[in-house]
Amino acid sequence: MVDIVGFCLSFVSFFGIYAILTLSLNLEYGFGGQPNFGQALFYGMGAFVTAILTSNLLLILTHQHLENICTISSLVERETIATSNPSVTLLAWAISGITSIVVGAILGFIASYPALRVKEEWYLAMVLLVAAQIFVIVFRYNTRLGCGFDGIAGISNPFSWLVSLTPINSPVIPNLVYSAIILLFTYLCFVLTERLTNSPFGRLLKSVRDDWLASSTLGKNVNKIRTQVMIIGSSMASLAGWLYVYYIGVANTEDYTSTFTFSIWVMMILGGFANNRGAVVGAFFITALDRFTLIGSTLLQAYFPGFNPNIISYSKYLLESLLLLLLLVFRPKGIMKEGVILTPAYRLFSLRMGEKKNERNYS
Amino acid sequence: MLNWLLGSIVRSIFESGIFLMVSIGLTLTLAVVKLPNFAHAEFITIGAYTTLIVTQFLPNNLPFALIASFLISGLIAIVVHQLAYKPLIKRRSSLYILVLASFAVAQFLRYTVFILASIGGMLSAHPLINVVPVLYIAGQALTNIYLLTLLLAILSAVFLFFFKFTLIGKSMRAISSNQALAQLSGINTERAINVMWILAGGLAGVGGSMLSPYVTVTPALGFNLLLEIFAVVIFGGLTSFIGTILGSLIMGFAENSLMDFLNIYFSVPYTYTPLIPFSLIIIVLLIKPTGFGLSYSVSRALKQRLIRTQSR
Amino acid sequence: MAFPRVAIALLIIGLIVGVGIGFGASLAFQRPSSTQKTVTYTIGVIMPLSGTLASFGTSFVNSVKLAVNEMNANLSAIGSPIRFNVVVADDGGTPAGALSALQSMYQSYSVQVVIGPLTSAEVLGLRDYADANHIVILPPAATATSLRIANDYVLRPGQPGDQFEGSALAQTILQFGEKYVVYIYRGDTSEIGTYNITSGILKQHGVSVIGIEYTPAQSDYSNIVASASSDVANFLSNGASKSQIAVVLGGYGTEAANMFVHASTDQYLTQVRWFGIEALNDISLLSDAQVASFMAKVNLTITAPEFKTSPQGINFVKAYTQAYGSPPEPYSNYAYDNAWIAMLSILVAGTYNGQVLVKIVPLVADHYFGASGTGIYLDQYGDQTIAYYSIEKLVKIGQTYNFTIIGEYNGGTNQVSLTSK
Repeated sequence: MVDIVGFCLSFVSFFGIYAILTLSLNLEYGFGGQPNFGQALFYGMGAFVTAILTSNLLLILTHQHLENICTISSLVERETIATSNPSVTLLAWAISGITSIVVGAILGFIASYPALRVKEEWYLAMVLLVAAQIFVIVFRYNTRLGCGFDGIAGISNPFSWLVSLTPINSPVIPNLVYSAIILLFTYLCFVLTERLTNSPFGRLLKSVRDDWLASSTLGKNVNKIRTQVMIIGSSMASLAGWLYVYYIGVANTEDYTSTFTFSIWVMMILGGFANNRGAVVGAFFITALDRFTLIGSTLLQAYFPGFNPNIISYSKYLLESLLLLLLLVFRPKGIMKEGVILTPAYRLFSLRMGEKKNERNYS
Repeated sequence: MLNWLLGSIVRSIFESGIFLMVSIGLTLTLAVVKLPNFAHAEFITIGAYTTLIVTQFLPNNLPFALIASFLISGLIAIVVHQLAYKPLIKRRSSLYILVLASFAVAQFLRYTVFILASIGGMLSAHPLINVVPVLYIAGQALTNIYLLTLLLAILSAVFLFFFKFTLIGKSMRAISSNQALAQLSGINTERAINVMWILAGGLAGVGGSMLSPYVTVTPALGFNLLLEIFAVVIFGGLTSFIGTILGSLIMGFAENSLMDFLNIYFSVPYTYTPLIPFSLIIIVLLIKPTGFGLSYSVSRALKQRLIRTQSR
Repeated sequence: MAFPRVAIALLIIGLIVGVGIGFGASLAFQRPSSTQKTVTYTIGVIMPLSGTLASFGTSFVNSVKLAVNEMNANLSAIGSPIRFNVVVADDGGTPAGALSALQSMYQSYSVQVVIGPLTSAEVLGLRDYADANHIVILPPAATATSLRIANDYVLRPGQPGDQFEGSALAQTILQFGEKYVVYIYRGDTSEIGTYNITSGILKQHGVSVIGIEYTPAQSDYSNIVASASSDVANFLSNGASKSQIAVVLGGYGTEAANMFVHASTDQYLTQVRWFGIEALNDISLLSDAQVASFMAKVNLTITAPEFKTSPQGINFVKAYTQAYGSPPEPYSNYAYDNAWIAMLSILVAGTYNGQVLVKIVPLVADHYFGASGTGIYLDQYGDQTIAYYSIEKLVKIGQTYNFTIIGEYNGGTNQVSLTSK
């Protein structure tokens, strides 16, 4: 029997996190013109900061001795607290969330420095790509930072304590609640980016993106704008990292490699850049492709014994890359086009002129 | 006290030779068609696998294996260009679209190799080539493969240097400097670009071939080298041959001699070796972004591509 | 303007149709067949089938399939209506991939027992989900001590923990009278753990140990080998004799092959004895003449599981080679055994329910003797406590290279006894 509820929950969780990441990249590159090929760095840093902070906070807040978070005993301790102590768990969750956003902002500020320093913008892309790789290596081999190869485990769902409270004792309840929260944050990020980009600031971003020289001759502080957009984009990516590490339970560098950054770029290009709805659609499409091929292959194997799996698992990657190539050749602007900046003034103006609201077929 | 140095230098030179052969093709690609080809690494893998298959039937037959690797990798490079890159370049796609397309091509090639290797039971295998020490320098063996690599690297460098003066070489330089003008002058740009792709892919394939006796052949062979190759090319200012030679030397010595130095005198473990190319990239990009040999006209042509990026 | 809407509409319709087909298929195949009510239990296998560990993952998957086919053949021969099926998913070697694979298996057909994943990192990714949904996880070869957690759904009746191999290696080295050791080890949890244990014991007995950690999945390790060479040269120049110096390799596969090729041309490394871990008994190394001749020259001595002497082990290798054309990768016997333990547990329990199976699996495992050549006894963490290793040396017999047994290690008494050198 196919577990539709479980499938939808896991789909929604991954989709929400990927959508936030795509929105952040879209803000940085689609609107801001900063090619961030190291988005996985901010995502991963948010995740690791969360993991380290939570592991220590859970012990501090329950008045226990701080110990090495990489040991089994501390892992078991963390999980026990998560299932029994709602207030401590939620407090740790909230604090680590705020911290990871702040850390993301700081990192974004630091990352904007090369943007101002290098002459050509693709150098920024290279620097960020390389910085992300350095992050992975340092956290993977340094046991004091990230518990080494296996990462930091035991970051349980912040609502696991609900299981003992409900009569049916089902693990679905915490999942349901947490998936709803992920969707909530996705919606918030969407609203934030929409408001940010459909405003004079959005117009500013686009002008800096399209022709920074002209903008600066008109008196706009190009450097400040680029820094600002990097800060916002990076905080959003770190937020996604915080949400993600609580969902999967472990912060491991394997999840934050440059291959993953490439996936986010695919989602953004697919959906159409400089278009927030497009970003969400792109994330939806790729998540759907991933999860449907996976569940399709398991279903086929379960009900048709003797089906060869190897070809299926490889063909997912082949399909993805082929799809991307076809899209790039035939529809390089993505599924959805870049729209007009709908500031409140413009909306009023278009209403007044009798045009359709939300007219989107510009450029 | 310095007895580690000579051996270290020998190994650094070998690695520099390998890096030169696998990176010079990327320099060519960037110079002539302004394409940062992330699929370049897959040509290396294809060359290594060709050598693997050829030596199954003709063990230790290096010349045959090398020629086969050159031809097959070059062929795949042309096919990739015709099918994927040419349509995109024709419609004047922006830089990042091309980069993403090359990522997609890389993934496609890599997983095709995975499927074929998994069917053929060659997911990790060793080509039948004997590595034989020819002479010893201060305890470090100079093997037949080391010497051959050095020879091939020098030959490639010399060949490409004189290539500039041939008709096709001149066509490539013209295209690299201003493609529209080259076409207007009556140069057969199609043919020159195709030759360029054969060279780029073929040299990478030969590099993979030279790596394969030491490194066991897996489908991810080239992919693991990707960022280091880009580091080499960035040091060289992206499009200059001399720069790439310099870059390969820097990379080879940094990963071997510099790392040995750090390990012996500062006890830095070898697990941090991958940090070296990455840190070098960042330093170069922040301090001297144009690398060590960018030619003026090409940097301008690259800017053209970027301007097209910005005015979508 | 119509295109995006049409595209999205098509996509949504396509997704609904796809799920509908799957749903319908699941209903259709639930109906019992007309002649006999076949009951099919489907075991899941999660392994990295892409990436650097693909060859191990593929070998493990094949071993599980072999076990399932054998069981099905036996069941049909006795006229039983029960059959087993296998569903395989690639996790790409990442925790996210492992979690997604497990979620898909659980959501599509409520998997209750899974063989895999390969590494401890992947196991950690799906642990929470498995515990919450009561799915038994049997990783055949993830020996990290970070998984020694009691009362969870991860059971490890496969490879014994690193502490046994570490002790066996250390004692073997001591018995050969080595006083100066260069230990090259892979930078992953398992080999770091083994190194720590081995070097600790050696240092307690006054042996000088130099450890060299290397990054996994790199192309070339010439500088690691050169560093080891200069360490050996230093020992020699400080007055040690060749018979007192040893090199240990805690690595395997393509990395080991690369290092052996470099070492074969080195004048110091070819003069001393080499030791290694069980994974070096790998056909891809033995079939490469250059690599194998070096291994024989340095009398490579490894701690290997005793499965070569058990009939089940010998049969497993034979059957695998016959079915798939080449011998299995190291450690595959643990995957094979885990599959058998899982199937036997389901038969014993008479039900396919994770909460029941998690109690039955230790019972069955404790009374199972299989291709791994030793009995199994799980401790309170669900980990294997019985370790019998044979100490083996590589020799050249005629034109081929093989490991011959020169001693054994008993995990119960923690003693190594050598019969020859």
